[in-house]
Amino acid sequence: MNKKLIKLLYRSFDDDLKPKEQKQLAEALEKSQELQKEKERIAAQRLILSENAPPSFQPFFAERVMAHLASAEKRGNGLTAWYNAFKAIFLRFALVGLIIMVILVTYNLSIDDSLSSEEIFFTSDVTYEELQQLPLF
Amino acid sequence: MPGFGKRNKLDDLQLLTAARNGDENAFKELVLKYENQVAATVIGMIGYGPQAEDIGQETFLRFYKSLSKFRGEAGIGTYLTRIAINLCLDEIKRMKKKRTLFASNPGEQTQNLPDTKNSPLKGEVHKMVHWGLQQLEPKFRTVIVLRLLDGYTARETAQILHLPIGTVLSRLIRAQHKLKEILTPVYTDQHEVQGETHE
Repeated sequence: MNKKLIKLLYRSFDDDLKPKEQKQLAEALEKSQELQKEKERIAAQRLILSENAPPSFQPFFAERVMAHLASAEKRGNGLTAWYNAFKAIFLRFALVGLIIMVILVTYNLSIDDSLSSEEIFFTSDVTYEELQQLPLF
Repeated sequence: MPGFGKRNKLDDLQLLTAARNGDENAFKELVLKYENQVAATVIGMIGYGPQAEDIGQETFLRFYKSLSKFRGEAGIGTYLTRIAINLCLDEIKRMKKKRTLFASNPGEQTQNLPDTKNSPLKGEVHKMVHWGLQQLEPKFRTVIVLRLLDGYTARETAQILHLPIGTVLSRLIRAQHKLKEILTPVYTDQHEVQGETHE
């Protein structure tokens, strides 16, 4: 069979053929019994496929989707709750740090009139070597 | 199925709006409405089994997450089909990788012509068709599922897959050819078996 005609035959099931192509196919179908049989075979195969679409998922699929959704949201909410707790703890630490700094600055200001940052933060005469000798290191 | 009427679209819009506003029942309505369509796509693509159910659920979960982004240009059914097809193609890739990894002969092709010994000789046409579909390469299976199982037109199929219409048409021709090659020996065997049992 002519390959071009076969392609045209297949295409006729899925696309609108041009009038010239329609005429060509109609003439070929009239002449060739083999082509007619092929047309019937293609139509039958397509019918079998379209009539045998899968039925569906197991019963209560929608309920399972909703349950899945609820658990996913719960997980999402859990993450949000964890983030909020972390933020609250961090905020407390930040507040305590700020208070300590304010106390430190106030104390230094009260014992000396100087406003240099080195003196305020006790860093004026501390060298790197001295820092290393501190028990912390 | 595709090609929804005006009323369907209106209903969809109402359900969509309600679902966006947190109405879970409205979303459930959408799941009920489209589960058969998603099932046809997913089962057609990867066959029956627990993975099909998982992908079906994942399709709706992704749809739920993207409710705010969904602009309704494509229609819910088409949008869901697109999600389902992408998930199925990912799953097929994953399964292929797994099979290649554990195959005794790594060079061996996984999408061979059917082994008629394991084919559903005594099964119904339905099983045979789906078994045949699973033997097709994913790119051919996709067009057959969308066009013939889901009932989308060739143009809609092209839009869903972001492919030119010409590519979809030529894939459809090749897919049907291949399916004929796959199913003819099985079908013949089945007839022979039936003939023998009748005798």
